[in-house]
Amino acid sequence: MAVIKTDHLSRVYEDHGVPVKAVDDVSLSIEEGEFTAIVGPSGSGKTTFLNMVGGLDAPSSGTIEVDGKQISQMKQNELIGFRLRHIGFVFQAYNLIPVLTAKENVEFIMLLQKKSKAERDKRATELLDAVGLGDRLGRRPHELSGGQQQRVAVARALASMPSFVLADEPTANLDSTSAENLLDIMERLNKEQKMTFVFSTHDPRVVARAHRVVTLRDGAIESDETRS
Amino acid sequence: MIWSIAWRNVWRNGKRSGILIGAIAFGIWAGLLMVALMNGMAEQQVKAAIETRTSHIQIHSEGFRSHRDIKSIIPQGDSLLTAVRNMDEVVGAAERAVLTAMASSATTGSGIQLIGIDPDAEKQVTDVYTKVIEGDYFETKKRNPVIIGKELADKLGVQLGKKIVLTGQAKDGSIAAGAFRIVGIYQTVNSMYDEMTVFVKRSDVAKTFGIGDDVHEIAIVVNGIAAIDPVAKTLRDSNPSLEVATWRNLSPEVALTKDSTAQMNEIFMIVILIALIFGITNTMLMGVLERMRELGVIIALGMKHGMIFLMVLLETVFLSLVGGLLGIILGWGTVELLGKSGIDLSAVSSGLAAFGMDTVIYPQMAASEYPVVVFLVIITAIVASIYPGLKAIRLNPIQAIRTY
Repeated sequence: MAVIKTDHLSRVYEDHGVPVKAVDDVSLSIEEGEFTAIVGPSGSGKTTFLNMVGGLDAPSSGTIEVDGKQISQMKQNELIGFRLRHIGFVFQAYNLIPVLTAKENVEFIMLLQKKSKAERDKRATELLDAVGLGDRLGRRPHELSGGQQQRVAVARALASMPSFVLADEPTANLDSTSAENLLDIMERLNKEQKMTFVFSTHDPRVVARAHRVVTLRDGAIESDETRS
Repeated sequence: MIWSIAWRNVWRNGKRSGILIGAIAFGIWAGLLMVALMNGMAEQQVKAAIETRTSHIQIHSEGFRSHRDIKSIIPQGDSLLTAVRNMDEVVGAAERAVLTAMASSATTGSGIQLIGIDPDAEKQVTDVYTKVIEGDYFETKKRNPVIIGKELADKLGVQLGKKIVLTGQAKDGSIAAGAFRIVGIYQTVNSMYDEMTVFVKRSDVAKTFGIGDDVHEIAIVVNGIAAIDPVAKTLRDSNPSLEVATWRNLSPEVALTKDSTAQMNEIFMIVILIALIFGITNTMLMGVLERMRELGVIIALGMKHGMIFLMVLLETVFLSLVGGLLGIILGWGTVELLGKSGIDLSAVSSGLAAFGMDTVIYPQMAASEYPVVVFLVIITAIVASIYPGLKAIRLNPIQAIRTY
């Protein structure tokens, strides 16, 4: 079953009065359990595509279906709730809440979902264990390395039990070891939990691990390669 | 957790929060001190007016207070006095003869209000006997003793032991006069009263002005402010032909000062809090602008606008409450301290005395007023959080994450 389905998706920006097509007629279907990389040079539309699929940006035309629901026409507040229940985000710059500990950062998303304290506690601990940070629960972001912060971000993305995780250049700020480590974890979660991951990336290490690589150029799909 | 996040956010920039907390604390402290000072001044003015001049209640015949006619007496004053003294709430009562007269020395004269009193009874209703600064309060056995205020003594150029002549209209319409020896000079906080009010024994007034046992005024002290109105009502009901006036009727300017002080205090506190709103809003806005990216992320993750607004609101309330409570504690401590030692304003004593105020002011603040200040601080914080809160919820998460 397709967790993400876009149909003739386009996004046009006005740049000094000149219309610029950031995403141009992209029709794409991503199935459950995929480990997909969206690649392409800077300005090819990767991030814009991810933002629209993540319900953070509205398309100029075309439709987006997530978990069988049209999100392109949803109102702002409805979209916020939808993101909370269906989509996990991992950002390039980690973007953890600095005043919260690693565990609290993971719990935070479940708090928004109004999960019980016991459930939050259990799941946050399990997820941080799963990303290898079981011994760093009480550390605040500034007490963690970049790689560790990004692993907390992955645990946070999974905490809400989303349908899929959108990761925007997740390894861009990491050294090789941390990047490989993070990819190992995400790959394992993909295999063990059948979690769908969609990355936008420049990083050849991510591309090398991806099961499917969609290349965008000038906003349109240039190639769509599935690997066995 | 939202409470915990808000609380921790307050301390993210400790220096900035500390400065704002200091500003709020100082503002509240200064406000409380001023309010307590105004309260103290008003209460002391009321106390002085009641204890020295008006007592709690006075009874006169109809119209006496406006025309001061020597013939406007209280019929059967003695029996009324006995009835008043028998009331449970009445602590003291005294009858007086009140005449408009002229006091003259060898060099000059001055219009006065001559009050004929029974000294022992008078001590139950006024405290003038405690204000005697020279001589005594009718203890010296001399013929025709008189006690005058320091202000009048200075004006007439007379000292203790000297004679003055009191001239006025007798009951039969003739002009009567008598020489009186100054046995005491008093000084209250009200210089105008001291210049205008002269005390002699009622028996001497009766003799000099031919008024016999006539009573013009009965002054009453009851066992607490709360008893004033009920006792006055009872007296009015039982003596419909007489005028029964409370201290508020007798000294409306003091009553007005007391009432307007409460309103002035409210306005004063509100002005301080409005000034604080700008400071708090500015700091919170800086805090929000600094965290645009973070706020963008939590909106992207799924935090609804209401929660974001609540978070900013809680941060503002926490910050303001810390400063506000600190200011209240400091203010309470200062008021308690100065409430005992008083603030000496003798440098401007003549100005204060003209208004019937003491030169040492004892700031005072009712315990019930502190929670009101806490409530006002919370309201201030809520108002101050509106703009930063709106700024936070209006941001576009993509732009915030990309730009900041």
